[in-house]
Amino acid sequence: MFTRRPGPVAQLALWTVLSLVLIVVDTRFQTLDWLRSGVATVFYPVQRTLHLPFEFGGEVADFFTRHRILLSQNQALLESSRRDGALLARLQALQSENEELRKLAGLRHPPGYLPETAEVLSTARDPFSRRVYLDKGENASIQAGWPVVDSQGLVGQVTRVYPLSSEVTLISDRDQAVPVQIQRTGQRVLVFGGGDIMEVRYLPTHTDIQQGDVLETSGIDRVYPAGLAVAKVVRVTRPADNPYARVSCQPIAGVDKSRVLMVLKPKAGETKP
Amino acid sequence: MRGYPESRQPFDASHGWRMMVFTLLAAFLLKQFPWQGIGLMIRPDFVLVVLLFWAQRRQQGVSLGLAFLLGVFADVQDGVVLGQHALAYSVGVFLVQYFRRRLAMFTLPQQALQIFPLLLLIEVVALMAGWMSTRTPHGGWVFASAFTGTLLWWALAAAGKMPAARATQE
Repeated sequence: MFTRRPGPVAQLALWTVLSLVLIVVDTRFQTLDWLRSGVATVFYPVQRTLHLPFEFGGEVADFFTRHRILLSQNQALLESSRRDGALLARLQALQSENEELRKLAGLRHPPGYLPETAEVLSTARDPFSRRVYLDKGENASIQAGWPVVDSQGLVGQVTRVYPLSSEVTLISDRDQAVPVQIQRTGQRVLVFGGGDIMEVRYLPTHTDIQQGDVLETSGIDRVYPAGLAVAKVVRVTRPADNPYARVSCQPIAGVDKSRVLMVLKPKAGETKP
Repeated sequence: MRGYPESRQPFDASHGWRMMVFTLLAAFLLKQFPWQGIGLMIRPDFVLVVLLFWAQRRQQGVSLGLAFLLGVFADVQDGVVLGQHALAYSVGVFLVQYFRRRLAMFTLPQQALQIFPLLLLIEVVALMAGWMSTRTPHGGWVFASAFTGTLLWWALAAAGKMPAARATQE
């Protein structure tokens, strides 16, 4: 038997070396995307099918929601819609005024974006990063690098595009940094992902930043459009032994809660990031 | 190191490869569900557990190639570096098959107790591989000493005519 078939240890060594080669090739040369993309495409219909009962279950549950709850919700929504209408009118007025002012100042318009709605297919469990998968990819002509938002603010960035799905790295990912500015003071800072909480780094101790400050994208990176809410400051400590303040923030968008997200397509003519 | 601990117990010999493929497929589908929140955090690795089960139960075991392939699938699924789970699954199947006879001697709860450190070890292997690929210390040179060390050991063994030197000449 041993003459024809290598022993288990030799087999293990063989597969271990193969794994290591795969790891090195994947991280150093990035030439395995076809493999990844192929496997992902084969599994897409499976993922999609398994997702269906959940959608259906959600619909059935909605159907049986009590009439009373619906009524009270309706009431509340009407009220809020009235309030929002007023706010919207004010916003529109402000917007037109803003546009006028911009023209006056001779400033360029911020780049336009087209929203593309996509649903979260699955979440990856990986201790080294925070990612979700969307149900649209090359078929919706999504490209890597595009920003992803939900109704409240910035969620992340498309990092890999497969034929029928795409991968979004969330802003809470450890390797993500977003250039933002403090809404209250306008100061530009960088906010880094750090798992559940985000932090602003390299901020001198005396900087004017306090609990409750809202950080929004500054737009100087040409990846994210300016003015998207990113995070809210929850704690500021100024350690005496360190020249930098320690600022912890909470993402504003439902970074790992939203089920439907929007990918922002830069409008034609804009430079691709 | 010598051979397969070939178990000659009669159990489950009737279950051919069809049962194994079916259960592996079921585990795979279960893993594909859109898990979320706490469920995602505590979700066991269904594919791995089923794979280890068959590695222990099947008379001829499970081939390491299959473990490798399923590991690559898991890597794509989780969007991590390719090879991370492939390595971990291969090591897991190897260990289960190595300790198979020992495992078969115990009652089920005792077996479960022995599987626990194994799963933990597999998780550590995957973590190490991931860590190695994302933040390699000193550009990977820390691993060079393992290779040079192997060569040195070879040279030493050959020079010293250790029993190990004779063993390699088969």
